[in-house]
Order: sequence, then structure tokens, then C-alpha cells
Amino acid sequence: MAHVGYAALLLALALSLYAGAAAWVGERRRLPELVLSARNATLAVAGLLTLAVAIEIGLLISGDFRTEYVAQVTNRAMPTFFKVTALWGNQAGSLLFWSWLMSLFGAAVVLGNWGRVRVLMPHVIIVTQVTLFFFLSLVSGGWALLAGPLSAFGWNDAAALFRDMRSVNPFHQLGFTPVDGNGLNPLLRHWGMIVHPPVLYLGFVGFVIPFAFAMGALITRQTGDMWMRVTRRWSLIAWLFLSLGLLLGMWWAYGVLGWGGYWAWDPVENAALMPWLTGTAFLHSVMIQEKRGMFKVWNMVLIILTYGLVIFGTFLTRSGVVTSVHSFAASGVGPLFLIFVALTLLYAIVRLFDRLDSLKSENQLDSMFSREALFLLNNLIFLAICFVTFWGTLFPVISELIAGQKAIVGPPFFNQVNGPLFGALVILMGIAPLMPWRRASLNKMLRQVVWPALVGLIVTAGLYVLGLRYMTVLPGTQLAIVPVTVFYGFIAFTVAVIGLEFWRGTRARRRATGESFPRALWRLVGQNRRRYGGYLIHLGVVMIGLGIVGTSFFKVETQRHVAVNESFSITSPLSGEYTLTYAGLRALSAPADVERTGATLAVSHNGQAVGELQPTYDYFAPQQQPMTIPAMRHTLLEDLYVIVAGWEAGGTSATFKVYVEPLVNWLWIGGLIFVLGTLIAAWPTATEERLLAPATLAGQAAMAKH
Amino acid sequence: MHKRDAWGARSWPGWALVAAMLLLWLVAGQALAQQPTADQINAIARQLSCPTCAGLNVADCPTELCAEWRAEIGDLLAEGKSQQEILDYFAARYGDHVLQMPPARGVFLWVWLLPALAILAGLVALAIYLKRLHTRASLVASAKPDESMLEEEYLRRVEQELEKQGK
Repeated sequence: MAHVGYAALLLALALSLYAGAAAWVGERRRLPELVLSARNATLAVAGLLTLAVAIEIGLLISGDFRTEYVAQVTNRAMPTFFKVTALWGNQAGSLLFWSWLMSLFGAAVVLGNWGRVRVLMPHVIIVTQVTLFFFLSLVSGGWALLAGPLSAFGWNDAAALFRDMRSVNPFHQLGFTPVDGNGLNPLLRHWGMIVHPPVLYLGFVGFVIPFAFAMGALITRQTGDMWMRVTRRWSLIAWLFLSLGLLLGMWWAYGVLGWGGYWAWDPVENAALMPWLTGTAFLHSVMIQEKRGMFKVWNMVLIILTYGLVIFGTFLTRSGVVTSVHSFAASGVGPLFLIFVALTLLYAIVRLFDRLDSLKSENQLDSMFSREALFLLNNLIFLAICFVTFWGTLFPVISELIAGQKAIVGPPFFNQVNGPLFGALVILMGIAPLMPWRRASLNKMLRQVVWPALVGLIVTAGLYVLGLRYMTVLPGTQLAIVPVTVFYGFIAFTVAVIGLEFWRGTRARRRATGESFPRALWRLVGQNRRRYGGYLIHLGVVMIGLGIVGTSFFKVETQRHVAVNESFSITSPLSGEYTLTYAGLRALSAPADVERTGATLAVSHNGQAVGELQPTYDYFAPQQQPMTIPAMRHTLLEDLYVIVAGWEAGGTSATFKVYVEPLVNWLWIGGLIFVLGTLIAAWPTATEERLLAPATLAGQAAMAKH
Repeated sequence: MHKRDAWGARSWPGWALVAAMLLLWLVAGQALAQQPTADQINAIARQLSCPTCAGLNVADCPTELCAEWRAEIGDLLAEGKSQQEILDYFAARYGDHVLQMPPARGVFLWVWLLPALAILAGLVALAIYLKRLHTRASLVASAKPDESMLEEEYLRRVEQELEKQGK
């Protein structure tokens, strides 16, 4: 069975190369049959990889331990559904999974857009299939063939690294059949494992498509609106998945890992954040290109950068060049990724310089005081955050190369530098909707800004007066200068601006049509999906900001060692006092290879009993690894978060870590609104469909103009 | 030979008592004064990075080594050392990289300097770019009649009309 899977994989490898080559030759020599053949090959590749993945899942479920990957990530005692998620549990399987998703996207693009933007299709096929070919070359273990020649030359270390790449093949067979496998890392035994990696991968893979369209537009000199319109939907979808993947990762870290946090500026987390940052900058600045035909070169740079960061991100995760809690074991794939990303970036930049003449701006910037200028500032800030993240993540590598010392950079650095930058973005989110295109009059701006600014000021002063006195300290000194309530003021300002926009729009519509308020609001959003969807996204982001400010500055924690029936309390900065009483330990039911113990605590809030919390201590016998799973009490205002760190004498006394996380649930609420906003913004309108379909003569004429 | 003081009493019992009280006070004081709580230890441990695990701080890390470090922090706290002294102690012994917040010295200076320079460079570049576009635009605009001012005037009148009709 594994051999059938491997054969399908090899065939897909060959066909992806064929598809790329055929598309290139077919486009050059104007042979449409060849391009059509390339299209069919793309579809076939998707089919073959689906077969390969299905077989791999079959091997995982049936426990075929002779297959090395299955022995690595599963064991007999694992529940079946984790055996399925083990497909992306380690290097080989996750590379196959990535390739499969890439092939599906490639197939979807050729199926969906074949009629619409035929001229760009060959180039889209080339880019997607070349990327796929690279990934499949890794998964097939083909690079291991280089081990022989390398050792013949005496480069034994490199040869060993390449020989190891046989294990990157998820179908690789061992010389014997182990009795049982290793099993999935306990940290991955959570429902988050089902959603977080696939969604994140969809986001990564998704961004290859806009890049492919961009390359096509560049090469064929079709750098006008057509490229923008087609790419927009794909970019938004990829961005949605990437954002969702990041949010799910945060939720998983918070809910399972038991350290009371959701983001650690871990290298692999940063690897996923960086393309998101440039992708968001891209989504914003293409709006300028659509409205005013400006910054075409800059948009190209952004999408090339996003693609580069996606591949670079996979390099960071899989090469082991920086230590991370997420990383796979180091292997020869690292240097190959680096070479691939270097070559593709080089090619893209050369192409860009070559075609600079086709990317001339259609308009000028009329005023420094305009929305275009604000969007540029927005781009600058996103890139600054990306640079800081990149620099901090790679600093250990750079410092080792230059100074011989591996200097790891901790989360406080990232928080200190990126925090204010994100804060600046929140303010921009508030000002930008008020700033017109082309030129703003200062008086008008001030009139519009006055009310929201007042709201912001009242919130800042009000919260301070009510008792939120925490001051942030200027880094490197003891100077307390800025009260944290200022951040809440910024958030309130932006929420006020967004609220006003919805209100003004609905009021104008009611005046014109006489509809009821809800109906007018519904219609308003429905007919201006991009604009109001965008406002909803911003609202979601600001709510996430609320949660981040609350947990970053006002989190309270304590660690106590208590005996049975002994109580301890923790005071929340927002809601009074919690008292927890330890009631005892209890053995709980769990899957076969887990020993689960629950520690029960009776909780009362400000004197009133509010129930029980039972954090658990899961001990995974095969890996000898424990996990402390938190128990939480959620309210809109805060979470009470408890983990049991250990116990003595059969549970007569136990150690607990308790956190009060203020406003943390606004992270998840904001996330939902964010996703809702993106869906609204991405939902196709009748006009867009007409513009994209060349079915009518008018449509074709419109296409020809672009 | 017992001395007698002004009141004729023997003085050595008094001195012995004072000495005993002093001794008791020293011993009890040491035991009672700084038995650091887990929270006090964690507050400092949170600012140190685990030398073996990737990306965990000493307060959250479950390994033996980190437990030893936490015990050591406890001892230093009991001795009366301040937070900064304890952090300096660990940095001196194990290297600056065990500090969660990279200090602005040695190789770590570049962690802070380069982003600051890059952001500054970006702002300068943006300012120059905007200035250049603006000068070019105003040169172009001065050549033809100022359309945008007419547009504003027109819009204002349209708004006024709408207001009138709205009422």
C-alpha cells in the first residue's frame, strides 16, 4: 500500500515538472494545446496527491509501523482521530500535507479562472507547479541521491544530512517492523491540532496564488486592473486563513499549554506572523492602486516579499536553525529551502526591474495630508513590525555568525518595540476613515475628529480616575510616563470613529429611502461590502487589542502550596477577590496511554460561591511527559485561570498556579468579528462577477481594454 | 570577682541577658524576615530565560535545572539581594542571554540599535518621497487651474442643497 502511495507521489512529482515546462513552452511558442495539457497535468497532480494523502492516512490509522513516519508519530494506544491529525504531526507528513494543499489550490485556480484571465494562466501554472515541484522533490526523498556523490567528494557531513532526507519521505519503509510507534508529542494531543495547522497551511499556500498572478501580470505586461481584480479574492481568502490560523494558534496555546499566555514571540510563531504583516500591508496598498493607479511597483514588492516570507517561514520552522518549541528536527531540508527562496526572490526582483516601465503610476500624490499618505504610513509601520520581528528572530543566528555567540532574544524585546508600533496602527485605523482621498482640508478633518477624540480622552481620564493607575515605564529607565489607560483611549477613539461611520451611513440611507434602522444598516453593509466589511475587521482588531492591553498590563498571578481544605485568594484588578479552596485529587478517565489526575478547587467570588474548577495533570507514559491543562472560569471582564503544578503525599497538599487574565475573552470575540468582517468584505457582488466574466461581448470588450 | 554598679547590684546577669536577647534577635530575625514566597521568586524567575528549553522563562519551565535556579533565586532573596542584583548575578555567571529582556550592551546593543535605525530610515525615506511627490504635484497643479478647489466649492453647495431638501 505504501508503495502505491509512493508511486502516486513520484508520478505527481513528474507531472508537476511537466505542467510547468509545458505551460512555459506553450506560452512562448503560442501552442494552446500544450497549455491545455499543462492545465490537465495540474489537475492530475491534485488528484494523485489526494490519493497519496488518502493512502498515508490509511497507513496511519491501520498502524503500519513498518512505514517509518507512522512509527514516528503514532502508537497503538492513540485514539483514531489523533492518528489522522498525525498526518501533519512531523516533518515528512506535514510536507506532504503542504504539497497536497498547494496542488488543490493550483487546481482550483485553473478551474475557476480558466475562462476569465486566460492570458495569465500559463504563468500561474508555472509558478504554482514549480513551487510544488520543489516541495515534492523534498517529500520524495530524491535529494538523498546526492549523498553518494557528496561522500565521494569527501563532504561526509553534508552527505549524512542528505542521506537523512530519506526520512522526509512519508512512505519510507524501515528494514524491520517495530512493535509499537513513538506516538504524537503530547503537546499536540488536543483538538487545536485538528484545526490550527491545516488552517495555517491554507493561509501560507494561499499566498502563492496572488504571487503567481503578480508574476504573470508582470511577465505579460498586464499590470492594470485585471490582475488586481482577480487577485483580490485570492489574497483575501489566503489572508483570512492565515489570520484565522494565527488566532487558533493563540487560542490553543492559551487553552492547553498552561502558562497563562497566548503568544510567546517564538520563532515559528514569528514565521507565521511575518507574511501576515506584509500581506496586510499588501491588502491595504492595493486599494490605492485600484482607486488611483499608484504604487504599482510597491505592491509588486509587497507580494513578492509575502511569498518570500512564506517560504522563508517554512525554512525557519523546518531547518532547526533557530530553536523553537514548535520546530521539527533539523535535517537537510533547511539549506535547500534557503536556496529555493533565494533563487525565487532573485528571479522575481530581476523580472520586476525588467518590467518597471509597465508599472508607471497613473496619478500623482496631491497632498501629504491625504488617505494615500496615511496608507503609506500604514505600510511603513507594518514593515517596521515585520523587520523588528525578523531581526529579533534571526538575531541568534546573526550574532553567532558575527560574534560567535548565540544571543537569544526574549519576548520582552518584541513587546517593547512592537507594542508601540501596533498602538500607532490602532490610531491610524481611527484616523484613516476620516481622511479623504487626494486632499484633506484641515478644518473638515478637525470637525470630524473632535467627537471621537473627546470619547478617547474621556475614556483615558475616566479609567485613570476610577483606579487603573498602572504606568508604563520608559525602557531602560525607571521613568513612568504613560498611563496604560491611554491605550484604552486610543481604542475608544477608533471604536468611536467606526461607530460613527456606520451611524452616518445608515442615517444617510434612511434619509434617502425611509427604511427602518436595521434594514437600512443591513442594506448599507450589503451594498458596500468592502468598506463596511473592512470597518468590521478593524473593529475586530481593536477588540483583540483590548484583550492584549488587558492581559499584558493587568494580569495578576500567584503560586501557592496548599493542603486539603485550605483556602487562598487572589485579587482581580477589575472585579474584586476570588477565594479558592482545595478539595482534593481525583483520578479521571482518559485515553489508554494517559494518566489523568484532576485537582478540584471550590471557587467563590467576593464571598459568593461560583462553582468548581478542576485543572488536570495529564501524564503520558510512553513519552514520560506531563502536561498541565488549565481550568478556567470565563466572564467578559476576565478569566480565572488555574493549573495544578504538582502535589505531595498522594494529594494531601498540592501546588497551584492561578492567573487572573483581564479582558482576555475580547481576543476571541474580536477574532470572530474579524472573521465575519473578512467574509463580508470578500463576498462577491453582482457587479464584480460581471466584470470578471467575459461571457458577454461587453464583458470581453471591458477585458480587452485592460 | 563581680563588679558592683552604682545601685550596688551585680551587673553581669544583666549583660548576659542582653547578649542572649541579641543572639535570639539575630537568629529569629534571619528566620522570620525573608522567607521568600513563591510569588516573589516567580517575579524574578519570569525575567530569566531557561538555558536549556527554547523560549521558556524560568518561572514557567518545569525542568530540574530551572527548579534549581528558582531555589537559588530564593536563597538570594533571603540574603536580601534586590531584583537587579539577582539578575546581574545570573547574567554575570551564565551570560547576558539568560536575561529575558536583552540588555543594551555587548552584542545585544545591535538588537536595539538596528531596528531603531531602520525605523528612522523608513520615516526619513517616507518623508522625502512624499515631499518629492508633493513638489512634483504642486508644479503640475500650478500649470493648470486648481480643479480640487472648484470641486470642494461644488460639493459644499450640493451638501447645502441636500440639507435644505432633507428638512
